[in-house]
Amino acid sequence: MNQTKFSSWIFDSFKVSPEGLGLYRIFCGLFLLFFLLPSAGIYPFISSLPHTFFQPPPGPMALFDGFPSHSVLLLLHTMLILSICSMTLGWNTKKSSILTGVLLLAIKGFVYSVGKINHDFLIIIVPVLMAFSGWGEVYSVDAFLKRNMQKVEGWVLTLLALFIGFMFFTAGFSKLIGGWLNVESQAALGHVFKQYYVVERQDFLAGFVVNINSPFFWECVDYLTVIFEVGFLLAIFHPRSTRIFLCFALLFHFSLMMVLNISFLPNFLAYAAFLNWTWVDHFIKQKAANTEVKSVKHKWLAPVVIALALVGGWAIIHLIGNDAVLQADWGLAGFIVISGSLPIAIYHLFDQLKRWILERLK
Amino acid sequence: MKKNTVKKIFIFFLIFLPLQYAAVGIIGLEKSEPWPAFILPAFQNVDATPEDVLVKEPVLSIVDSTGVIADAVPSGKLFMGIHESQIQGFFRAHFRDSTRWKGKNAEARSWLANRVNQLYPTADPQSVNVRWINRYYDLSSARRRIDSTRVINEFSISLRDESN
Repeated sequence: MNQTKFSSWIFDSFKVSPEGLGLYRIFCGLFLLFFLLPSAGIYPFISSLPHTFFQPPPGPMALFDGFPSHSVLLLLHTMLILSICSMTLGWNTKKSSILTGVLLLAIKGFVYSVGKINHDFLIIIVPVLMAFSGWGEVYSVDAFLKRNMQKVEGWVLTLLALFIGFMFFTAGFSKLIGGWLNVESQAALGHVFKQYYVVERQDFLAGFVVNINSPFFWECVDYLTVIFEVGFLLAIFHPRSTRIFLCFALLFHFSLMMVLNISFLPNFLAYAAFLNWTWVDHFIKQKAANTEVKSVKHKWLAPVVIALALVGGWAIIHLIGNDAVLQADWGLAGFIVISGSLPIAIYHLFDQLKRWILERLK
Repeated sequence: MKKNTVKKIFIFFLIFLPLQYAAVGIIGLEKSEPWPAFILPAFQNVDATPEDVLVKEPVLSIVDSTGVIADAVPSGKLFMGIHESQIQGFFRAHFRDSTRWKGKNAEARSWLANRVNQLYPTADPQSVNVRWINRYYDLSSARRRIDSTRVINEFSISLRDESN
């Protein structure tokens, strides 16, 4: 990649606007607050564990020698909520975004020191990285007070795409060297069995899929998984292929949820960064402009609509009853978010296919 | 931020990301997987062939003076409070073999006894038996069923005696 192409990839891949980034910041904050906040219910368990159960993963958590008390964990939790609120409102946006990432790192670090980590690093990366994007430029207290202003930066999205692509690549490459492409064994089938019989995740299509007795089918699943995950690293060098692979990722997560009942929401926070938020902002403003009621033509309408959508979604999920409905990680919330993102992915993929055909016909 | 600074950040990460992945692999072999790291779960294990599928499973039993009072105790109940996605890993980290328990102190034993007492308040449990089982599911027949079961490791954790 020569110097010009390298610069173009970094700076021109993703066009951003202050309004688009502002909307994403509000979405991001509320999504964290309502769907991805560490459960305070685990703190009594962690703080009750004897010190000999403290098994931090190699990394910064090894600096500690035991679990903190329940009150310290609750204090960190409260600070996290406050910093997310500050980030969402856009008050000291850059500092509160970084603080959100740091507090998530600390809390999750203690939770993972019980001897098992989860791979949700992206929810820590997103607020820290976006702190440098200027996402507090509009729809924020900072903008209202005209202080802490930053220039909006599109390269942040390119870097986020690089992280996502590389992280998928690591998953695919490990499978590649682990023997997933060996036709004598069917790796995906083994994992389906484990989730079905040991973890007892038996919702949705799990019961049907576990009984598919075709080595050819399962080998195709193995190959497609590895090709998709490894291929993601190549896709991130072009904005169009990045978005196509993000749509594949949504289909991938939907399939995992239907078959393995794994609804992994943290990555969705990062995927959402690549939605065309500028278009969303224009669309809402345009719709408001076309209405008879002129009073709704307000500058703050778009963020209010996004906030209401998330608050409404959260309220509906909790009215139905989030817990114990499904065995999947994020229960009903995971199911609704992942299923809700599916039409967007399918629409975008068909749109890209249509464009590709039209370009060929010209 | 200046364009040159941004370019340097990208060059740093283009070099750092593969290096940290290599480090994760090496450290993961020696100890456990580092965290945080720019990786997604590998699900690397391949446990299924056209003939059968291997599923490794821990089984807990509670024992009192008369014998086993509860077999195949649901781990989610015994360790209620931990996130469901962490239970299997928590088991592997602390209950994989007896040596992991030998390193733990009386406080750990007392903690486990307390959890068991909460689950079986009327019993007088003396120990917890841990069995690691390999189950093989037969794929040759139309209906999936367990073909064979093999205990690969079994040990007991006394809830009273520190000399266990």
